[in-house]
Amino acid sequence: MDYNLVTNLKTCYVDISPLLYYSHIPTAIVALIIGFFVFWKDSRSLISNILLFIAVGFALWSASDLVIWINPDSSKIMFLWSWINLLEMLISVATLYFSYVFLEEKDVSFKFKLFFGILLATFIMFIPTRLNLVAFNYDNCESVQGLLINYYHILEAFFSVWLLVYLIRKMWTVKKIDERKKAVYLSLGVTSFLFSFSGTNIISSITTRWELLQYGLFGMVVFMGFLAYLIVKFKAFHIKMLGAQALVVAIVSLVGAQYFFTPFTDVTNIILISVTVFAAAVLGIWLVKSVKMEVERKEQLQRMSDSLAFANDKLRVNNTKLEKIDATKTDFINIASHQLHKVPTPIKGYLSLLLEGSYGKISAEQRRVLENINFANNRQISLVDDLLNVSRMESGKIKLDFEKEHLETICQEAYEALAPAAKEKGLKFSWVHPKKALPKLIMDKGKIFEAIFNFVDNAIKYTPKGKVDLQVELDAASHYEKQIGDDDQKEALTGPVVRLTIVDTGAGIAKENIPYLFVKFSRRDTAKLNIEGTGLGLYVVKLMIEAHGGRTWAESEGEGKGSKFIIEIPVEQPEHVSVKK
Amino acid sequence: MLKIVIVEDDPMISEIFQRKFSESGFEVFLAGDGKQALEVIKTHGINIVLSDLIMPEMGGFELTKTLRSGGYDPNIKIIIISNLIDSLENAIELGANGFLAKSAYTPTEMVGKVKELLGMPAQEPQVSQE
Repeated sequence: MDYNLVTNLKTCYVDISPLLYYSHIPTAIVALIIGFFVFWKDSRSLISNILLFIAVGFALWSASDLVIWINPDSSKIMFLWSWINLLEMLISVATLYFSYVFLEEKDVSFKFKLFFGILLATFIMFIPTRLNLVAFNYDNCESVQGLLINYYHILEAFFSVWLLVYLIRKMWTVKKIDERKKAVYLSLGVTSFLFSFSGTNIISSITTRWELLQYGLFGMVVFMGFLAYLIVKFKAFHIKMLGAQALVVAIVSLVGAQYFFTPFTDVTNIILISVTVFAAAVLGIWLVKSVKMEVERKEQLQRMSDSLAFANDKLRVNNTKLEKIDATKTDFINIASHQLHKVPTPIKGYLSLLLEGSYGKISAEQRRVLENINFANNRQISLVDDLLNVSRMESGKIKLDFEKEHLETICQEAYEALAPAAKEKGLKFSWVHPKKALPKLIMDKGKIFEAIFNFVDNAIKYTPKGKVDLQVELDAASHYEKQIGDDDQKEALTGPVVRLTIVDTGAGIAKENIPYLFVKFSRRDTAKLNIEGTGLGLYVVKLMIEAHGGRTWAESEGEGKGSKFIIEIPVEQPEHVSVKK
Repeated sequence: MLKIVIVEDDPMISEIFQRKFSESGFEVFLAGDGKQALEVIKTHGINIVLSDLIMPEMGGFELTKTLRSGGYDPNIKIIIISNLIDSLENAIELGANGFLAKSAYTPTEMVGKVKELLGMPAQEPQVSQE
């Protein structure tokens, strides 16, 4: 590239004011201090790396700009000038990058990086060409900027607008207070940077009034200060202290730097500067001390608060446990349970010991009598248990242990449990395990087993001769019809159901009694179906089946004509029937 | 011989269980409430605690909590015998090893259940024939 450059141009010797040095050197140093400080604190985080990049970029820019100003060598000027706009664009892109990473708390996508990389690459491509710098103007010691400068303006405007739009959107859309503050602070910092640095850059480039640039540089320091403050404020406490120290050092250096640019002869200024430096130092030390105290106090408070919260949690958990346990004593069901069992339990115990011969040999007659008492007492215990179960079911206290299981598996167990009893009575007891597996249902296996056992047991008891049939099948629709005692809210079963049927050729049920079988405390002559004599047993079974979303009922042709007991559970069980984890 | 303490405020139940557990080969101690039980446990090196829940002075829950809170042999097995079957979960939460409904079993069945819970081999009780 032949620009025909000359060194030592007279026109390059301009009257250089101290402000030039002051605006370039200390600001660059301060920017570097801030950048390196934050980087040193946390060299691994992306944010501090980006900040360092911005700081270094700015320092390079500052240095280059200063050299362009003071150096009379046009070749150096041309070289630096050709790169300086790129540096500035890099700083702008880095600021955008910083904002994203800081607010989103994650790295940007590869697409983004590629996009901006390409944009920058297209600019870089033309740097060594005449599109960038056309020639050197010997009259005012400046480079003449080519068409590339327009591209530069466009790109810069593009980056700035993108950044502003992003920050504004972020401020409006973010809900949490803390996040909002972050966005606001960042926006303030960025805006001050944009306007002072890039803004003056663009304006001075367009108007070629390069002096404006100087003032822009101070904006850079403010911006860096904001960035550093952001990092410090939104991170750990101990950074705050060292951040305060760094800030003080920076301020004192900035003020003190004026020494370098004030001639010794200017005594009044020297004195003023000295006083300012001293005041700044004193205030600075005091600031650092108070920040240190505040940080330590806050940390201690945080520690105490944490241990208190932990202790509180433990206490709360224990308290709820104790409350629950305490309720045991006062709960009606528990009181009733305790009191109602108090009498029959020792009776059962003593009778058992007597019958086992623990208190000596007993006669056959004594045995018979004792066994009668035992039987009656066991009935009493069953009555109490049934009453309490009803009470529990109705007040929702029964905890069902729901699991997914095949109903036919439980039927198999019930069959095996009762087959001997049926055989002993000379009854034919049939159960056919379905060939194709029925859909699994959510059930409390124990309670369903009890229900099936209950029905089959009754069937065997009330069938003097003949047979008992147990079968289970899948049907597309329910056969259930509304019974007496059903409230109007009770829904019919919809969809396919798994139906369990127990048929016997036994005593049957009178047609007029059928509706009252499952009714609580039925006064009809159905008590004998609940052999332990309560009028409750079937009611409990009904409640249990309904807790599974199912229905249960009985059918019979009449007395002496056998009976049929049915349990239906829908394949689609209601929401409250679910396996708990 | 395993040492078992029956913690129960009803003297009839105590008598019944004492008789049955002695017959089944345990060394039986009695306590009327949780407080007495703790003393018995401290003095006699008890292996198994069979405890009711509702008792004066100190009930079964308190007793279980105390025994599991440290200061006592952690190998002591605690079985709650009570008709308050809703309390099963609470008992296990507090550290009991088992829960049996008092009136659901004859004393013989109860011994069998206790042995089952402790993983001991079942043993045929001696029943004298008439």
